[in-house]
Amino acid sequence: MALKKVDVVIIGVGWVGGIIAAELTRAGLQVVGLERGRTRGRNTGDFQDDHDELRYAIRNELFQNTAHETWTLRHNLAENALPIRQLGSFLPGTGLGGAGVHWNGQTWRFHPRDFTAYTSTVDRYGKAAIPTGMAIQDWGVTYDELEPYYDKFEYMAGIAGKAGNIKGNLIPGGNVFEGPRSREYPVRAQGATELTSLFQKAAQELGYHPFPGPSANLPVQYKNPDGVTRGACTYCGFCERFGCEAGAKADPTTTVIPLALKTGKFELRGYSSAYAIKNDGKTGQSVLYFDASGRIQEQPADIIVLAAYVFNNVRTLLMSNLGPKYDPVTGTGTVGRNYCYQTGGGGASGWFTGQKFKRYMGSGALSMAIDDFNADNFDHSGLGFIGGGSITSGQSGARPIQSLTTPPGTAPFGRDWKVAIQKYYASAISVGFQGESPAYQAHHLDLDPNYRDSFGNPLIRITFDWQPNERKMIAFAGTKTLEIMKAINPDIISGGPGSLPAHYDTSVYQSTHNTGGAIMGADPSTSVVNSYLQMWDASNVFVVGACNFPQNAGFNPTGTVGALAYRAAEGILKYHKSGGSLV
Amino acid sequence: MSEDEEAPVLPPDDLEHYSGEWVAMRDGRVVAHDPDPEKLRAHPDVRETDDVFPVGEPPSGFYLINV
Repeated sequence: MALKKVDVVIIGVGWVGGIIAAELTRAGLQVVGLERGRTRGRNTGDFQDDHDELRYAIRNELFQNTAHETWTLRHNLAENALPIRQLGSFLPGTGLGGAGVHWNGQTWRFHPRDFTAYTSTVDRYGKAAIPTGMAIQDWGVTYDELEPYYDKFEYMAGIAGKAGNIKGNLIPGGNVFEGPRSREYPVRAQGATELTSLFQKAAQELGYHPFPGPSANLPVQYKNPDGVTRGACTYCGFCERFGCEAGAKADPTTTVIPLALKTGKFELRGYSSAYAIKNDGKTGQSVLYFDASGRIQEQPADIIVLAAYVFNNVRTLLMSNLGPKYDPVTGTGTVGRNYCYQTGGGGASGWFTGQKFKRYMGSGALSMAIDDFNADNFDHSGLGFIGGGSITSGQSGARPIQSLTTPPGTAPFGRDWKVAIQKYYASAISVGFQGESPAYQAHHLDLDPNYRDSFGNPLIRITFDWQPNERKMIAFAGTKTLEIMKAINPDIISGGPGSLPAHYDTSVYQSTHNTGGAIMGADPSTSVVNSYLQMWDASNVFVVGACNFPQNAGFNPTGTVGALAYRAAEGILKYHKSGGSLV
Repeated sequence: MSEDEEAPVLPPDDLEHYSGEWVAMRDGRVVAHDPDPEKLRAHPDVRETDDVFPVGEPPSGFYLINV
């Protein structure tokens, strides 16, 4: 029997679900949030004095349990996909707050060109510059249209940074390549450290434009426009994969979710695993989910919001037969289209023999960056690839298990290794590159025909591999990071033209940024949702998150996800009032 | 023909054979390979329009950690 109907049901309560719940409940709507993980034990106090790297970083306390639910991977349409049981390449969160609890806090805005990737590329380089099989698209929304929502997310989360472009006025010391902001960041940038200053100085000497990376780790106490006050970072170095005991890292559980709960209109249900939307092909009627006892429940609602991780949003649509399934052979259909990842690699490393740094201190997003080789900020003529990425040198802390680094040639174990980690633990520096991941016709998400989760539902299947465009981009990036490392001038250097392995390997950490599968756009034949993240095929269903990206940019996605969540919330309120298509 | 029987976009040549080398690719096929990129570009089978890039070893080691 169905439960009592509510105004809105949200699947997944992380950044997206939390933002939308806060906005809708404060407008008076009755909202139910379905969270597959636990809802207790996710507050700052639960992480106090808990710098347990084994528990959180190795045994994956805050991540999806791949024994119960995972994904399968194949590199092309001819391969048989296999289930992945080892987390590595990406780290989907579970429990209240989702990955917003264990993220590092890098909070970027995408470039204006990123939202018009196809048009901008053709305008500057011609259609021939887009390789065969590449399927980049425009987003159906422009940077200028999204700017107010970026601003809202940044002020809610208290993002620390230095603007490089306010209303078209370029400001040295900030990112002069960024799109115009309406105003300065809400919080001053995190200070430079001895390590990040080395990168800053080297980049300046080479004629590049270094700036402090935008961070959700507060350098000072901050009270946001919602009246939420958070304290300053202690630079403990336990951000990524951990909850923040100080509340200095912006997190849905310390910002938007409490606002929603305070209204008395937000009912949170933990251990509730949604798997399908009951629908008639035009309207979503209710959400079907397994409760904590494994019983199937049905929650009817006027409006349904899919706010889970990329894979679960797409899987729920496919399980529901809602929207036309993508066909990678013909390139038609939309649900599952344009799955992308993030192109890492091309970094350079350095070690000093007579200089030590306080690497054990840091915060997740404490960094210096350059944007000179991102997006289309440089002339690609003759390079043989399109796209780019951000180059950063960070100080996120150096934990005792995963942050031991030694120069090339060091024995991987034994006495010599122990001597080397003692010698170099405090003396290492890295310069990293995080690149775009363009869409391809063959890359997509669908339901695996062979493997199922612990509830008996099909796993999501990923079809993805590295392509020549990204391989050439990474080779190019490696020459740039090496150039900077040489200017930093440590005693030992490792780097050079970057390379990607023969195949994409999910077992090793690279980045945790999956995108696409329920992409946004202006054309219903090539996108799942419109610019308000409202489904073309079911106007009362909204699908929100990185699944909306038509391709991934050379930045971390959370800033853009947050902006899309605020835009979706605005659209949902409009829809609740007037109904119909929002575009 | 079902999608699982057809691979219209991805290259048939498996790059695992070339880990640690540079390859030149044309229309999804490896036309030449060499550990030295300059020697590869000078290879008589390699055209200026070919995709030339290094193939890495499986990932390992020191990563910039950022989520």
